[in-house]
Amino acid sequence: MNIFVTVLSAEVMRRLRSRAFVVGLIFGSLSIALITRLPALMASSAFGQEHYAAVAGPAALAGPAKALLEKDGSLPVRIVRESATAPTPAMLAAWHVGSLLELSRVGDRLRVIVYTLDPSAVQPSAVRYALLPLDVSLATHRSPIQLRTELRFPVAVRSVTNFRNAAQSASAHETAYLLLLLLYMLIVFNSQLLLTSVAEEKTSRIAELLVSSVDLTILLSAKIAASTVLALLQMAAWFVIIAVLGGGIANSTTSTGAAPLAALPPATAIEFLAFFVLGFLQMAVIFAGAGSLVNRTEDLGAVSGPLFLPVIIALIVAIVALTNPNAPYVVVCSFVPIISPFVMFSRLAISSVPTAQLLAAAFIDVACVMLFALAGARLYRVGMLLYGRPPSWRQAARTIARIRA
Amino acid sequence: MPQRKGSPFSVLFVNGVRKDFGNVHAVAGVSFSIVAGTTFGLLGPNGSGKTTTMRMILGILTPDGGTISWNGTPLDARIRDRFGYLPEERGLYGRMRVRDHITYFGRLRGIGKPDSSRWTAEWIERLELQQFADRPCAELSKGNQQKVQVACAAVHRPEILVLDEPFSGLDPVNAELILSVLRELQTNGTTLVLSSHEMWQLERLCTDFCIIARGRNLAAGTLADLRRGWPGRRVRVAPGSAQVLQILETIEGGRQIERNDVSVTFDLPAATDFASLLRSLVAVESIVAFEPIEPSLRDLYLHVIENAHE
Repeated sequence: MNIFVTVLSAEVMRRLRSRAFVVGLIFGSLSIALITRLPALMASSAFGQEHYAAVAGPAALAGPAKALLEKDGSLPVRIVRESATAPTPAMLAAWHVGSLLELSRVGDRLRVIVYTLDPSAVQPSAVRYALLPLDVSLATHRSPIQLRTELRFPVAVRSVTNFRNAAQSASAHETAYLLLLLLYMLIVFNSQLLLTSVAEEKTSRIAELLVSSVDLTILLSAKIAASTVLALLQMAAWFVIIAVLGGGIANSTTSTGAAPLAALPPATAIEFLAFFVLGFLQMAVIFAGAGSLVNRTEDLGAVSGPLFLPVIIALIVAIVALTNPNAPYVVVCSFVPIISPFVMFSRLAISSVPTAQLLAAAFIDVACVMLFALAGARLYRVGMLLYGRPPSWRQAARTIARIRA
Repeated sequence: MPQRKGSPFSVLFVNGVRKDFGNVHAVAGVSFSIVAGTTFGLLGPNGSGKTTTMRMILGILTPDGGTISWNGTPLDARIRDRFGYLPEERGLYGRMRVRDHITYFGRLRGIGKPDSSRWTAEWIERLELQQFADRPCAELSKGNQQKVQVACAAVHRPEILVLDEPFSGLDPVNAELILSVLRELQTNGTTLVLSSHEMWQLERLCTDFCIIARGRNLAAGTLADLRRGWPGRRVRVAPGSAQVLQILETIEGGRQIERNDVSVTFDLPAATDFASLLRSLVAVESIVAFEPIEPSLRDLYLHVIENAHE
């Protein structure tokens, strides 16, 4: 136990001082801070002139259109003009607007032509939605403002499972999506760090001295434990940043993507932690075993590339699972090793998962951690002493299958 | 220098050990025994199985056959904690400070922090590393790094210290320092197992030898035992004049080894009558030196290896 603690603490200290960890922590924290603050900053920042529009057309159309567009809030109207001539960019600049909406009546229908400097500043669907009451009013001769209150477009369709209301459901989706990204970042980053650490010991030729000094099982388990501790430390740092920055946002009137994370439900936090540990341990033992086969640091990419594929697939399936958590293929994926922690967490975060399925997935994940640990330890034991040409995948598989190293 | 209390009766037995890597028979039945407190030299050409044998003694590799025992007890983790190892492939954690590095390896061997720190300080002083003690290992020269590695291998005061090529890459001054450190360990009762291609250093240090090639024993014993297997006699004669050379060359089975301005050295058949030879030489030249020479470890090693190839 003492030796385990010695290796663990040395590994933690060594990794804490490593450039990769420090850069990762700072870069990750900055990214999280950016994700957390950016929407609010964008929302609070002053709009440029391209976000303002001018409306041109008969007063009977231009006046109500201005009111409808501004009620929607997406396109503030700065100028209303009656002339209907096509503007030049210089004219738009002179009016301090980015676009001109030219309105005209064709029979009982409203016609809108958009002249814009930046097509992304005026979304046709948003304009269509905002001006729908005006269009209907031309045919029905009713007040467009009154029609706006009566029209409900589009018809709201939203899945609400084990949440009290649609707002909670939306919040849960948002939270799950962000947590999945965090899960992915944490697992990928820390697995890569572990791979690099093992490969460094191999390439610096300290491996044999280590192997002769300490039991390999203790060495490997302490290294993985150290990586887990550091990953949790990193996770804690990220969540503190989210809590500090996101908390302020959650209390403000502006909604942002990170706001739900600031008030993470305890159950979701526990599920996240559990599936992080299960997912990370599966990857960690595989990466440690693979890292021991690397003879040159230049080969790290070639080894880690194929190993990251299942994690990328897991993230994609888990994101898909957010929209359809109980589709048959999603349910199947929630029992597939490596993919399971992502997909099962995704399902748990936004829907009700039968307890039997949850237990089965947890059992499979734990069994896989043990199985992968056995295989990874065998690979590690042999790989740490292999110099020269790296073994082929077939040789590695044979090593794993062999009873005695 | 750290003192160690060892038992004079402890003996390591390596009995017919084998190790295969796929179709390669790395070690195909090596046997020897080591008496506690002695210094044992394991010799052999590159790829002969020395490192694999050492790794099996250290428990890094599991033998495919044969046994290794300590005082009649099969080796286990508890016994191996009393072993130290300086591998041929060695390195250090570049960012770790020298002092921390040695202490860490002491702690890995189960030594408590106070003892580990104290013994580290003793090793730093003995290996003249004081000025580098608080610097990262990566900043040290190769020779100084090697001294740190020796300290890491021996900081826990092992009963048996296995050193694979301990002198490789060292300048003469540092090689001499390591040699003197190993002598002190030897004096204090530590059993040393060495593998090296520096024959003159092994000859100065080791009491027993085992020569292996292609994973098999070729010869074993003390230097005197190995010399008994030497097929002829070696003699140095001065001056090495043409007349002297003419007589020596007439001896059937004789072979010139070396000739310089002062003398000539010849290998002669074991049955050569030295008294008769000396009389013949004195008759033709004013002989100032006629010196039978014992073959060196290097000569014995080359002879054994050449014979094995034949």
